[in-house]
Amino acid sequence: MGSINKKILIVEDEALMLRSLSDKFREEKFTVLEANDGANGLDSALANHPDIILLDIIMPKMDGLTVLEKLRQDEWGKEVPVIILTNLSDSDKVAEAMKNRAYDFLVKADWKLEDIVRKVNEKLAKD
Amino acid sequence: MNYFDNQTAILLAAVAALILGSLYCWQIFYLRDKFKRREEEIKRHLYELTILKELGDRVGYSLNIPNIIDVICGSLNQFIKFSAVASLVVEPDKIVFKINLAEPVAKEFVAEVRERMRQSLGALLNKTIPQRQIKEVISGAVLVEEFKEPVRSFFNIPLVIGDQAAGVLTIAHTQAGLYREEDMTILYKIVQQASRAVTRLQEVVRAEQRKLNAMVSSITEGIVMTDRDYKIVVANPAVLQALGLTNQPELSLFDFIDNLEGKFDIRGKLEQSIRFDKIIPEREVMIRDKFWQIIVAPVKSKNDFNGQEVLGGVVIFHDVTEEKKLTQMREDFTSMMVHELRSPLTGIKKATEFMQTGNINANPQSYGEYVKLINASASEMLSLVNDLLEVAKIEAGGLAVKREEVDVRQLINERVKFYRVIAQDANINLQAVVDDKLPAVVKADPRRLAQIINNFISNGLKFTAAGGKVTVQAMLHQRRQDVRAEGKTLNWEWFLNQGEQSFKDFPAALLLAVTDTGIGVAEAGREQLFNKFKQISNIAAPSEIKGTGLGLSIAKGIVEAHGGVIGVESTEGEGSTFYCLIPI
Repeated sequence: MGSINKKILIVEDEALMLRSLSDKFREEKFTVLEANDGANGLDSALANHPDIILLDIIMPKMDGLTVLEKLRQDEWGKEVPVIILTNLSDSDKVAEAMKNRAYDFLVKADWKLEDIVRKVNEKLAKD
Repeated sequence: MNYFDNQTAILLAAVAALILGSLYCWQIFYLRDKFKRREEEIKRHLYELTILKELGDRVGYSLNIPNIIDVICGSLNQFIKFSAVASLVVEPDKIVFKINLAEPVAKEFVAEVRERMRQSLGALLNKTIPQRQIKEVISGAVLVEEFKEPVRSFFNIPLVIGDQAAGVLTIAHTQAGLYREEDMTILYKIVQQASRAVTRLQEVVRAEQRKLNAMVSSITEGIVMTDRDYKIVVANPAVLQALGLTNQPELSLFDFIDNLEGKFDIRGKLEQSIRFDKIIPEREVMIRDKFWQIIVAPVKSKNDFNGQEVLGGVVIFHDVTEEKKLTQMREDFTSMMVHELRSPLTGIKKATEFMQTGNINANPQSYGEYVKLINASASEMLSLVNDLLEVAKIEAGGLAVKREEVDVRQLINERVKFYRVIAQDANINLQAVVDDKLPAVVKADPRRLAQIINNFISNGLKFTAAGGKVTVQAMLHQRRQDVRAEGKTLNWEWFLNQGEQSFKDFPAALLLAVTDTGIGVAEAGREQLFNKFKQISNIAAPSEIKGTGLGLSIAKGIVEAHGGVIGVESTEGEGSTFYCLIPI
């Protein structure tokens, strides 16, 4: 599988969501990095250079949009693929994220864990 | 008797008769003259009355000064001879010279009359009237160059309305010595009478206008009215305030257009409204940091003869900033609640999905952790729903308080014990100090009291960094005592010292406070802290501190249901004291 040894960073403040996503990606043989707020997420991304990032929008300390903006200012971070995790009501924020070249966005409630994995694999296969 | 002969007697008689006769004659002549003059006087008086009555009828209740003067000029030929009757009347934007010729005269004659009147009006107004301001209207007989007769008889009557010179009325003739004192008096009287009528009428209108103006001035809505030519007729203080035009002495629609900064096409809307005779409402226009609802409507007067007449348009500015803020707050609140509930629900959904499909059953430890997390999420949502219900109850005024004897010391100890673990995890020193004078039991609702303490402590812990301190404080506040002094006596460290409240007039009460060494609350946000819609976005606050902000508004509801007060004193960067006083 193409995902072996691929490094994914999941930035999500909802503990259960974070746990489920992490465990799912581990099952899929990813190396999983976790962050439960935006600031930790940004630090981890810049320190560990993951292959792809799943990023929640509404988060404490630093929201997902700010994380994305700061990432794009970094030499490495300006190219890293980012998939936005969102709730239905964040549509205007999604639009803003797309401006900062987010790869895609997923409405959390609508997407099954497998779908998210598939989406991530698709993106990684393209690169 | 010799001295008196017959002749002498006759002579004497004749002389006497002559004297008597001439006396008589003189008497007759005198009387006749007197009667004649009397008759003339009566005639003139009658004439005067007739003229005045006619004028009265024709002028009616008009306030139109040029019109009144036309009526007067038109009636004069009935009792006075003239070559020309002329008027020079001050109108808002011009001065009108009207001359009516009864017989042909030369151009120079007209020019002379006009010049004399210009001088005369100038003297009345105490200023020079430039020739070019005067508009000339000539009517009646023709101008004939050959008649070189100058003005030989002439008199001016000033027209004064209120205290203001409004114009001059002039009679002129090419013949000399024509006008007697009496003629001038009559004309003077006529003009005076008309002036008085107009003045009185104007006074009545002004009084009405003052009432109307006072009303328009006191309306909090901004109101501006224009006539059909978009000249500003009325602009009340509220509209001037709203558009920053208070210091403008003369207002035109351009001032409004400028200060509306292109946000609202006042001219276009007025035109539309007047032309199509319809009311145009405009929702939520943002002008100068405020939201306005703007209504444009035509102003019509009911006219008995030809139905409705459009006088102009009115624009009404209604400030909806507060309503808008409230709506925004409600929306924010709703979306926050939605987020607070949806987020854990989505988490549970994903977790159960993973548990169903994954190999989690093989790993009992992981399974246990999932169950624990799901349970925590469910509890969180449950308490949020409970809070929402509590707030709803408070708002409906239905918060039930069951007062019973409460051992406050024990209650505080229990609460502190409950939070100690969390405090230790966060490396915060959690303590309680209770005043010895506080009675062993007070009357209050124990469950509700615990809720307040819980809220204060959990807030204190949330907003205090590691190494900080959170102290629960309780004392008996006495009426007529300054609460700040009471705290001092107990050697308390708290932020009530910084406050202005003494609570001297507050009855004896249980004072509960929680003081922290956290980030503090900015003065501007303190009031809103207890508002259910508002959780203060304190810049100093690390944003991991999340919360619905319902806790404090619930605490406020509980305290108020006890007849008490709740508040916060704080120094930014040093800490806060949240407190409440509950009368006992």
